[in-house]
Amino acid sequence: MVEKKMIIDGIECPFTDERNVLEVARRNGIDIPSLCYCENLSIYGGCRLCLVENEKGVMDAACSMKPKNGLVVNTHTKKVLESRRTTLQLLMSSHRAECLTCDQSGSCKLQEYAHRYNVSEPRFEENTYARLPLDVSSPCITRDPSKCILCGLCVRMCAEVQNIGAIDFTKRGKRAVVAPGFGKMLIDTGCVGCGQCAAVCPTGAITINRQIPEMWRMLNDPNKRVVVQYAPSVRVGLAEQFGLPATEPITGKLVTALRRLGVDVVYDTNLTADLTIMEESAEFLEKVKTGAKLPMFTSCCPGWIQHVEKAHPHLMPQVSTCGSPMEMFGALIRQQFKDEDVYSVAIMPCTAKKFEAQRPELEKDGKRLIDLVLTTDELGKLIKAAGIDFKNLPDSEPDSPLGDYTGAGVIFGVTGGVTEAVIRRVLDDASPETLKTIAECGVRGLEGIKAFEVTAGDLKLKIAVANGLGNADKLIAKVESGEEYFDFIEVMACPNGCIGGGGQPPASNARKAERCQAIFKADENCELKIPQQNPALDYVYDELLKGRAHELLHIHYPLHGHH
Amino acid sequence: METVDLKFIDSVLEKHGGDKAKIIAIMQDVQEEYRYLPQEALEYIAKKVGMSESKLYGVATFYGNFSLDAKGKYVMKVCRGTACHVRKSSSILQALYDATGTNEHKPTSDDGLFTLEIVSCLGACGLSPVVMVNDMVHAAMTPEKARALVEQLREEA
Repeated sequence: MVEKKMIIDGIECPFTDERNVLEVARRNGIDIPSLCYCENLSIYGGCRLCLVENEKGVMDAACSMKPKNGLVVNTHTKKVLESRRTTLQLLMSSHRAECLTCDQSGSCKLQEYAHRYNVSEPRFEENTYARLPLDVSSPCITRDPSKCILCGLCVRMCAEVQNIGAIDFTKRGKRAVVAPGFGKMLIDTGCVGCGQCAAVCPTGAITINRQIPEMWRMLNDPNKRVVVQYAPSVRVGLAEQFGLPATEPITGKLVTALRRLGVDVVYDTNLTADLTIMEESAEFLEKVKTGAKLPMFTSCCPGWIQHVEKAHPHLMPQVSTCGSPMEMFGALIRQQFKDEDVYSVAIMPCTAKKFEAQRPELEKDGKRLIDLVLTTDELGKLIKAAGIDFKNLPDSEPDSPLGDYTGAGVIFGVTGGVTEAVIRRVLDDASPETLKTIAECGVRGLEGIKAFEVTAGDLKLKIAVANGLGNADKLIAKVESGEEYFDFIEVMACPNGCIGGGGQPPASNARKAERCQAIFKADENCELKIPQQNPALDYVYDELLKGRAHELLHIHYPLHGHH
Repeated sequence: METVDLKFIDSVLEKHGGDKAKIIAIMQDVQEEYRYLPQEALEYIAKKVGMSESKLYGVATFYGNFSLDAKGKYVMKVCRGTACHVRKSSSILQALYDATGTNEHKPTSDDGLFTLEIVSCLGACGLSPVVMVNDMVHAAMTPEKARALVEQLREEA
């Protein structure tokens, strides 16, 4: 086959199946600006920033231009640059720019491009931004229409990837606003707080609710014992905020950083990921044995739980009652420090966890199990605010006796990880051959839906794994129509699983693939591979839970029905 | 406010095969019945055709012809197009506002009889200035005729 090439800015750019000229340029090291394009979403062509000029002097949007062999375009001609400046000035004329205090400042693409293209002062005097109130109804995200530039990325993310459609373009012309229908608040829509809209928002129109000041207050309170747990994916998302590759093993630095911040006790959520597997696989095998209705769905993901509650309430009885690893660690912390004034914090890659933590079902013995959830992104900001030189920190270990974990816990961070861990538990064999067989059974990979079969003794299990709620809905439709049968289904609300969570620093597909690699690398580096090997579990069951395991580790949401 | 008869909505959906590609026709039929689009009806339609509420609301609010607010028994479309404008349609609009007790921000009268709408052109420039009441065109209007029209409609109601 002849290699196809196009000429961008005089440079020969080979291409294969890229969907547009924009991708070809970016893959060849030419960064064409764009505000409304995302590689995982349909093409909108609305922001007009990616205009390029062809040989005839005609300008067109690179995101909507098919690559053609021999095509010649230029990305920074006089005409293009002028057009870009005008477009930016127009966008800025209806954007409430409060860059000093805006949560998005520093990662705002509008701000970045305004600087890059020297838009030094507003060209249009009266700013016509949408004078509408903030939507602070969601415990996870905040919507500020006055900063929205109508790029529609959030709309497409919510509809195309998550199949929810909580928000859309409403009204028209200068009154157009991205909002839920009928003037509703986010909390009254199908929104599950996954935060993927905020991850693609180029400005501060949708932001993650930050609770950093609350954390500082507790860290500076001498009477509070601040106990922090951090989730598997945090270790592969945080590095990027300090200019390190995702594959850099930083767990040891993360622990040191938390201690330097003033955290009293540090735990790795991996332990309770192991614990989740013990409980969840027991629950699953029991369901198989008693002939309960299958498939059983996983329950670690709070976005998924809310999606079931809002969109598929009748399926809730089939969702595992296991608490999430965050919840389980919360329960252990309350038992470990029974009479102390403990402030229990979870660092999560997830925005929906902020909602989960405040659910009444996560109260045990009259107390919230988790007092505060911070995202990976918030932790990065906290570390920077404390002036900690993260890159050069020495390593340290989580506190004992709840510091142990196995590789099965680590892989929770990536789609298929929970399932792989369950299989490891059920096969009960930590030999390298068995582990290799499991890894190659079809459970790994970042595809949206995976389906495969596993044989465990005389059990033949049909398993499916979905990431992204749109994919989960597709899978459910197949199961409900009888087209497919599964015994066990894992769902993670965010594309690629928690590594791509709404609380992680926003990342490209390539970056997410690196995070995935890093998770499996962390698993490889663990001496112990299967959850039942975790030496802390005896202490957990015998000393801490003392016969209350089911009561403390399982969550019965109202729609679970009677048990 | 009227309650929405879901059986009626079902019949409209059935007529259009429950097809979301025909959502505009569906909404037109519903609006013809209620003279506006009740929220309850739209929420029901969204669920039935498998469309998100926000998307359906987006379509409904995009087109000027759809209204989400309950309208009066008589919807008066006052043309403010060029031809009507030069023949002083602004004074007709003002006369109608005064006679019905409505204004720019409150288009529907308290008694629920009248809703005033401003339209850009009714395509009847030869008859200008024009006011359309429901399906009836009233040509060559003057403020006096406008006031008389309101009185007459009040009596009929």
